[in-house]
Amino acid sequence: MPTARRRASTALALLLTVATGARAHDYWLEPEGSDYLLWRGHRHSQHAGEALVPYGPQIIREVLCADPQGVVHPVAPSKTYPVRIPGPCLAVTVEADSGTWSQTLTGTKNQPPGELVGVLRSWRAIEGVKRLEGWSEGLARPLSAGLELTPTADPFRLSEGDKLRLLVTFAGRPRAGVTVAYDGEPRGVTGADGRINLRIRHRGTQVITASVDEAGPGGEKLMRSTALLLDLP
Amino acid sequence: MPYRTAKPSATALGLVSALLAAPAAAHHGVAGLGAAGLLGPGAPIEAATSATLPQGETLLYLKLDHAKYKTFDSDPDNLESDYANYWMAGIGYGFKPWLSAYLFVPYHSKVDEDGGFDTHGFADISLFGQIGLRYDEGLKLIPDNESLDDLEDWHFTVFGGLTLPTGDPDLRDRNGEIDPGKSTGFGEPSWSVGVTATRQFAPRWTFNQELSYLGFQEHQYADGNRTQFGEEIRANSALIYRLHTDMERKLRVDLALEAQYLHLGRDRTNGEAERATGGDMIYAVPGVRVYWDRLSIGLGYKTIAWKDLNEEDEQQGGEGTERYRLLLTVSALF
Repeated sequence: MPTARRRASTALALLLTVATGARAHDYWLEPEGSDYLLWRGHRHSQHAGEALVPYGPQIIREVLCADPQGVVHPVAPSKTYPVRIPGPCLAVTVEADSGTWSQTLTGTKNQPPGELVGVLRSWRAIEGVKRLEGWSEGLARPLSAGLELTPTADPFRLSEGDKLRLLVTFAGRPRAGVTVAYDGEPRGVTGADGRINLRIRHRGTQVITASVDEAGPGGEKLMRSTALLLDLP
Repeated sequence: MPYRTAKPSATALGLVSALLAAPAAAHHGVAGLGAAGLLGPGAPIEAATSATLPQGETLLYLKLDHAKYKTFDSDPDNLESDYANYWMAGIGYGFKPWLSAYLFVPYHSKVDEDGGFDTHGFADISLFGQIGLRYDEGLKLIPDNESLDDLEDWHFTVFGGLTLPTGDPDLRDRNGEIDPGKSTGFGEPSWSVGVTATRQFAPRWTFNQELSYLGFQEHQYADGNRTQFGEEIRANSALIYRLHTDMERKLRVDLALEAQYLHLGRDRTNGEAERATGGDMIYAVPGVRVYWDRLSIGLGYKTIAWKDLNEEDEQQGGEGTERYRLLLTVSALF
């Protein structure tokens, strides 16, 4: 149960997240044949930015694929941009560590503050994305150890107006204080049980994003973010 | 005994109504103040809403209900009620996300035309409890954390309360007579029960409904007379429109329109039905509510839209014969 102070900090967390959203990039997975291509840019977020922001394949830390039988296993992505992930998968998750970002007077750079002048703030970004192609009971549990959004029941049965019930986890455990957005619009913050409910607003691609700031090693600010993508017919 | 039934609308129920309208910044366990208070359901100016207080948080509340009465008789020897100010200070606490409790201390000023009988003083304090429910695949207690999408569900409250006879029921005018309607206390506990239903049915629109009952007990006054005020039944509907939101400044402005139905039972004196009491009426209450950070300020103009009083010509100074009422509420959440 949140105390007054906890609630206040939750409120602050939301505001900070809204503010820090400008520092985050979107990651998304596009099916190509039976494979998936990983893209980065500004497709779903509310803030403006380049449609595509290229990345080096070396930022990929982990790719997991739940095959049509529901068995989860790591897969090796390609070493070229855009990263190609071999499928087919019932669900696929990717976690990337894009390193340290610094906001300067002339823009945001993917460099540590020590290499720049006029740095306003900096952070390290660990970003994830998960795409669901179908459903099995095993997908009601988190697949990875990263920050992850997991529907607690088959989302493909949902219609407009229905609630998508989500569990947000980190290290496989419920994570409180995570701001969750639908189509880029913050809709709430997870409680102690890591759960949050969002309402389906339209058919087609559902884009749910989540992020949380925390203190990293050495006092560095660490921003974890993740996205859940699925298509409702 | 010269009775006027100027008992305030801000009696026990009015207290909780006013209070529950207050905590727009107090929406339970939500996306944080920045989102829920600014984008979540709105609240009427006076009617009770389905918002409960967040667990562990305290609400401070102040209300002024200024009632200006129509006068029926220009004879300077027949002094009538001019106006009344019903002040209310309150404190609320969220024991659980679904359980809130409140304490109110009212202060009443009932003023006649010049030269008349004025009374001022603290009235009966009241205690209230409120249980919050939400319909989400069934009726459930309000959880400790709700998203903006959860806040779009039907929300309900069940509330009940009582007043304690801390006011003075035996105020005497210059002739030594007691007018229960001008006293600042009822002499006995009164009690109330009610339910509310609230739904944010569009991003900017909220519907709110309150049904409630307020009952009084018979009291024997110092002059030996016994009076029991008539029951009050309320059915208050409200539409609230979110006019303006500034997330950066944590500012929100709502427009509200309430239709308040009030049934007043006939008072009884020494066991007999009292003339010039009771009736039915509908008030219209347009108003505006401003939220800023953890502060909420509501301002409403309450006027009679329809009435059917039992003996209207004789009910000057009572409900239904107001020229207008001005409502001002201020609340803060800590």
